This record gives sequence, structure tokens and C-alpha cells, in this order.
Amino acid sequence: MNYLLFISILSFGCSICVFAQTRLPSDEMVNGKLVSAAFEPQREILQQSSAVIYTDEKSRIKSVYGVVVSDDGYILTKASEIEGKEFLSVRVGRDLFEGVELVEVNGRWDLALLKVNSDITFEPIVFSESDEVVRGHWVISNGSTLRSKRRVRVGVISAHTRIIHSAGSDVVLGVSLDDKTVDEVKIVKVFEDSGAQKAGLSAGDIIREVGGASIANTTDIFDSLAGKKDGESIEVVVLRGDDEKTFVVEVKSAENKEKMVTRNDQMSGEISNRRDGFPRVIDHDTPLSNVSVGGPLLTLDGMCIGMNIARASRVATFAIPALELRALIEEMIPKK
Amino acid sequence: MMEIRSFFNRYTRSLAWLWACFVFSQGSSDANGLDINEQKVPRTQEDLIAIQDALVKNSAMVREATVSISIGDGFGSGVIVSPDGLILTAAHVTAAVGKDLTVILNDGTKLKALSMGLMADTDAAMMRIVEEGSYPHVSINRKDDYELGDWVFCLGHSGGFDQVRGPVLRLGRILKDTDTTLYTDCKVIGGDSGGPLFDMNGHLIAIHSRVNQGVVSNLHVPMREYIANWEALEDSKFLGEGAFAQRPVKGSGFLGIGSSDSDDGLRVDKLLKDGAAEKAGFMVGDLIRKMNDEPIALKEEMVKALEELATGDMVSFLVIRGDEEVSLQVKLAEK
Repeated sequence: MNYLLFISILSFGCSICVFAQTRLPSDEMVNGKLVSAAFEPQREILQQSSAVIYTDEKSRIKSVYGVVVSDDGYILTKASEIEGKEFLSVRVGRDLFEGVELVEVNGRWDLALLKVNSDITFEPIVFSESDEVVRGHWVISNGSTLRSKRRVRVGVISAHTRIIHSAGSDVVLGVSLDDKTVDEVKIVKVFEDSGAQKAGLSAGDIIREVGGASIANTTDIFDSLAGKKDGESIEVVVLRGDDEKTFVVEVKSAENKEKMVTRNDQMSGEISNRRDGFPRVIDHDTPLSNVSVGGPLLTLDGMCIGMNIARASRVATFAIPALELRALIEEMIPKK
Repeated sequence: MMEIRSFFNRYTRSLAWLWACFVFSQGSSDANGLDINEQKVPRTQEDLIAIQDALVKNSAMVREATVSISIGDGFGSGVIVSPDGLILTAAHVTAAVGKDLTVILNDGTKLKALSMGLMADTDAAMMRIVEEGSYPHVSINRKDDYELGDWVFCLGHSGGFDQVRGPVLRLGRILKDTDTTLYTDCKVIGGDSGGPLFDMNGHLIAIHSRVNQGVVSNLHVPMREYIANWEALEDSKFLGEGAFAQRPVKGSGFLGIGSSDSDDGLRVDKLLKDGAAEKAGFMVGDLIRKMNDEPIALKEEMVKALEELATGDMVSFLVIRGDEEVSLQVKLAEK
């Protein structure tokens, strides 16, 4: 009797062994708890120099993350996730700050600069001196968060840093275009009551520049309009006959604003609404979501090489490179 | 009492030994000759740097052999495994045997290719570049020594070919192995199908197939499936019944000629413009004598033979044109 009992315990024990090893335990996956633990030095940097941004009254639901960029409390975050919200509060480390001001927005890059009103000295992120981004290098971002503790999500650099063209724009000039001639975009028709008509554009004008960027095809125009909102103005330079003329056009909301949802989008989980129309981005495979972008992108040496700006698809997260970020921060922080 | 106690001791010791063997066999796997797979998880910065160094070096080596495959309106990926252009990919990318495809190299070069065999139940497929050349290629891991937890990386042309971006690199670990499917947390998406999964030596271990719900559930066809069916794949056989490719339908092939029985035999009266026959070089007035080496005397014989054939099938004809015998090769179109 006891003999049989021991045999059955043995077999049961063996079958547990086999069962336990048919799938890798989730703690050991690339973003499992045990692997994340190896990134503690980088997590500590995020603990001090990243911010959690809330837009609910009780500061409980995270909208997005941010980057601490100065010791007196300037924080950079993703504008389209916080604009138009009634409440704005920020957590850095363990501390919650409710006196938060929206200082400046850059629509082109979808950046918002916030200022925390506090006497505390913050620990700003340290940007990498080099603009080098190597495919295959580890990158570390904000993952989920507890009230007191920031966590990491990790991945690798996937592809070349590059421009991400607009898939379409939210606003229009109010013209129909012909770009069949190489490197030339011509206005075919100016629509009634449009910003283009009010500004004085005419059919036959060849568009040379929009918003300071030179135009070779209609994609270039979409890129220039990225981040612009209804009622904002943009400079348009055209060639009319032999003369170059400049007009200031008030853009209006596009009528069919629904973005096409592709099959790839459907497989992608929660992706960011504004995920295209960026002049230059770093591309990595970290599985973030629309509510976990906005924070710093670190490499193993703890340096910040960028700021996560969009969850683009199942396989890609985009970050604004440190090179451009440094210049944008300089531009956006008010001069004393 | 004594007997039972010593019995118990012997068995618990055996159980302990069994556990120990098991734990050690997991730990000391020399799977890919790399220390990084010997550890359950990386612990130190040095461990992370070791993974990073292997990834940077080996992904650079195999990147050029990762190709994009243009399929009508869509895209897939593939990987070149021999210098003369043999490619492994997924069955749902080629979707048929003997099909003309276009391969795009990373520098934008477009090459003509032809699909070979496929496994409709496991999603394995083979194809080859038909233009002569010496192509960048990868080594296949034939040892079948990959295990749960092994670090792997994937490349593919996610969402379609993008020359400025290049193929997309991702890192993961093997989560599960069910013999015909490898699961990893290397995320793949539409456009990656048919692309390569590598071990940390840069050797090919699987081909991307599909995804399940959840960003970390990615499925690939392991090399063992290709190796077990290599000859059939090389011989352009359509194997297995499954979701990944539809068997060609009998009677779906279309020749595109109008013909009639005459005193001189089966005569071509009309040719469909841009039809399969016209493209192959048929001319009005040709007298059809043989089809796939079988003599044809009457129209009804040709019609009956066509009922056995499907879209994409190659058919050889022997016709009389004036005083000459002309051989023609026709690829049947869709009805």
C-alpha cells in the first residue's frame, strides 16, 4: 500500500516538472520581473528624473509620463495627451505636485512644457552628448508605476532614426493640388471660404514652402501641417508666374478626420492617437502603450538618448532624439 | 517500520536526484555555445552587455539577407539561405507553388523569384531568386538545440518595405515549443510573415508565421519543419491540408483561345488579348497537335484535359504553324 503511494507521489512529482517547463515562466520573459530587476541602475534614474502626469481630479489615473528637464521643475511631456484637460498634476519620485502650469506647446513635435511650482530642487535628466543610436542596443523606458515607485520596460533599438511622414492631417489649407510634375506641387483649385482663399492664394500657384519647410510633394505639405490646430496660422510661399509671394493662411479642421484603422493597427494594442508627422524619431521595440509614452529613453550607461513620443504599432515605439530635444527645450523655456 | 523508512529515504533521494538532474540540464545547456543562454536571467550590467554585443554583431551580419517579398497588394518577408538565392518564407506569403514573385533587397533592388514547395498545415515554404547572382545569405541552425528561455532576435519588413527604415530588429526569448510552432516574445506584425528568427549566434532557427492576442504571443515555424520536408520543398510539392495555402482548384485554369475542329485538326480561331495563350506565343491559325505530350485530335479532348488543370499550371503544347512544328509553354490564367 505504501509502496503504491510512494510511486504515485513520484510520478505526480515528475509530471509537475514536465508541466512546469512547457512554457517559460512570465517572470523570465524580456519584460518579466526577474529580467527587469537587472535594470535597477536605470530604474533609479527614472525614479528621480521622470514624471507621472495625471489629468483626473484625484491624481489617480496616469495619462502619460514626462521628462524632468530642469532643476527648478520644468517637465516635458506629450502635448496631445494632456491638452484641453481640466486638471493637471504631476508626480516626481514619491511626491505629488498639484500646482502645475502648462507653459508652452510645440505642435510639430507634439511637445508640451509644464512647470511645477515648488521650492524643491529636482534632478533633471542627463542627455547623451552623442547623437549615435545603435540598432540592437538596450533601451529603458518607464513601464507601469506604483504611487511611490517607477518601473521599467525594456527593449532594443530596432531601425534607423528617420522622418515619420504624416498619414494625413487634421487641418487643411483649403486647396486641391496637383503633384504629378516631379518636385512641384501646384494649386489646382482654391475652395470657397477657406483659409487659402482668405489669404489670397490662387489656382496656378506653385507651392514652394509651407511653415518654413520646402515642398516637393503633397506628403511634405501634410508633414508641415502636423500638429497644427483649427484657427492657427501658417506661412505659405508660392511661385506665381515669375514672382515669389508669401501668404499667411489660417488652417481649418479637415472634414473627414477619421484615420483609417489598418489591420496592423488592430493587432497593436493601445497605440497613440498622434503617432506620425514627426521630423525625426528613434525607433525601438519596447512594448509601451499610449499611456506609457512621454518619459525618457535611456541606454545602459544611464544617458538619455530621447523622449518617448508615440506608441506607433505592435512592433514600434518612437522617441524624439536628444539632439532635437535639447534645442526644443532651449526654445520652449521662457527667457528670464 | 524500518523497511518502510529506508524505502522512503531511497525514493526521496531519487526524487531529489531527478530534480537536480533536471535543474542542471536546464542550466548547463551549451545550446548555442554562449553563456547568455546558460543563465536563467541576466543579473548584472555585464550580462546585459553580453546580450547587447551578441545582438549588435549578429544582427548586422544577417540583415542584408532579410528580404521583402512583394505579393500583389501586400508584402511579406523572407530570408536568403544560399548564395544562389534560395529563400525560406511562409506558406501564406507564397500561397501557391510555381508562382512568380518579386523579392526586394535592402538597397531597393528588385529581383524576380519563383515559389517552390510549401506546407499548408505548418506554414513552411521555399522559393528562389531566378536571376543569377551571388546573394547575401544566412546559416541554418540544423542542430535543433534551441530551448525554452533561449535569447533570440527577429528581423522583418514590418508593414511593408521601407528603404530608409530598413528591416526591423527585435529581441526576445523562446517561450514555448510545440514541435511545429515556436512561441517567442519577439513581436511581429503584418509584413513580417516569412521573415527570419535567429539564435544569438546569428543562425536561422525559425520563420515568422502569425500572432495571437497579446503583444507577447508571436508564432514562428521552427527549422526542424523545413529540414524534415526539404526535398519536397525543393521539388515544389504542395503538402498538407491547412489554413496557410489553398490547393489549386481543378478546372480553374484559363487558356484564352477560341478553337474549332477542322479537317486539318484542332484550329486556333481566336486569341484573347493578353490571355495566357497569346502571351505564350500562340497565333491564329495554329493547329494544336499535343498537350503535355498527349496527342490532341478533337476540341473535346483538350477541354477534358483542361478540366484537370488549375490557375498557374504550366502546360506544354505542340502546334503546327504553316510547315513548322512549334513548341509553346503556357502558364494558365484565372478563369
